[in-house]
Amino acid sequence: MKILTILSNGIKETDSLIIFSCLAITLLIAFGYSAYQKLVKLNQSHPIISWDEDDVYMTFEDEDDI
Amino acid sequence: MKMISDPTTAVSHNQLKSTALFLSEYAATLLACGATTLRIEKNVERIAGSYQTHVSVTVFPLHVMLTVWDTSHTHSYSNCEKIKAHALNFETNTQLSKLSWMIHDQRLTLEEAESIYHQMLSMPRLNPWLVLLLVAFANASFCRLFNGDYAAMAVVFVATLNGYYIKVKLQNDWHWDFRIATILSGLTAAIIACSGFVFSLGKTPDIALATSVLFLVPGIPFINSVSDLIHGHYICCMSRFIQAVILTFCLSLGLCLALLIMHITI
Repeated sequence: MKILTILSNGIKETDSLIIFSCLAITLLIAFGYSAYQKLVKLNQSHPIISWDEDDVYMTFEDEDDI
Repeated sequence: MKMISDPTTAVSHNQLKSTALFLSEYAATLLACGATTLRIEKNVERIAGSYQTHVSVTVFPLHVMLTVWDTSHTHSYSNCEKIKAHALNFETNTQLSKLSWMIHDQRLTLEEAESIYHQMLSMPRLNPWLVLLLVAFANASFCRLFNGDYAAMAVVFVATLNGYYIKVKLQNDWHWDFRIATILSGLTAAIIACSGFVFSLGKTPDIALATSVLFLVPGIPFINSVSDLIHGHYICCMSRFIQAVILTFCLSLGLCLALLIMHITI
């Protein structure tokens, strides 16, 4: 005996996007902060972006060689 | 006015005081771990009896009130302990019950009992990643029990992994309100469970969706409230029942929001 019937009222293009967004948010919550920390650590050892007060500088690896 | 201090009374008072403080903390911890009021009463009375004292326990929704009497019922000490917000833990629950028997059988002193009590509380819990996997497997098994196919089980497994992780992260690590955490967790799990409809996975996407939020059902508060009802602890029964109903409402709200977002009708 089937007590409950659940029906989908047509699939829309945004539905798959919503599902993938949920998965992405969970991954971001799970690994986002540690990925950010690793990037900051990497930037400190091989500076690509650095800042001083209000100024932001971009450094390229090639500039060091010159 | 001259104060007269009787050294024997002072010792007796200090003993009563330390016994009452230990027992009230013990009772509050047991309650936070998910023990029934009947078990708390039995354990506390067993310990109090071992120290030649009598005890009466009153459990309120947020506090435990306890009065310890000496054997002659001439001197008492009362304490009101706040129940700490604590995740349910049946391992601690079992260990604390064992402690009450150890005190009774081995005649432990209060200092020894307190030391063992703190050791028991500091024991590490199960690995959270293992718990996450086990919860996901359990919920996928629920799906199978309701005649879901293997595709539906896989969908429920992934949905539960996501939903449960969000709940734990929001509630335990970020200290969000448990109701908001439950709503968002139910919403996430139900939206991911809708992938059965969206991507045509398996033949029972309806069962996947319906069982995807079952891991949020507060079974222990419901069961404990019935136990309290049977044994006449009506205040505690109502408190646990209302808490369980609030959680059920929150998970239902999350599920309904997901159904609205994904255009699914019942």
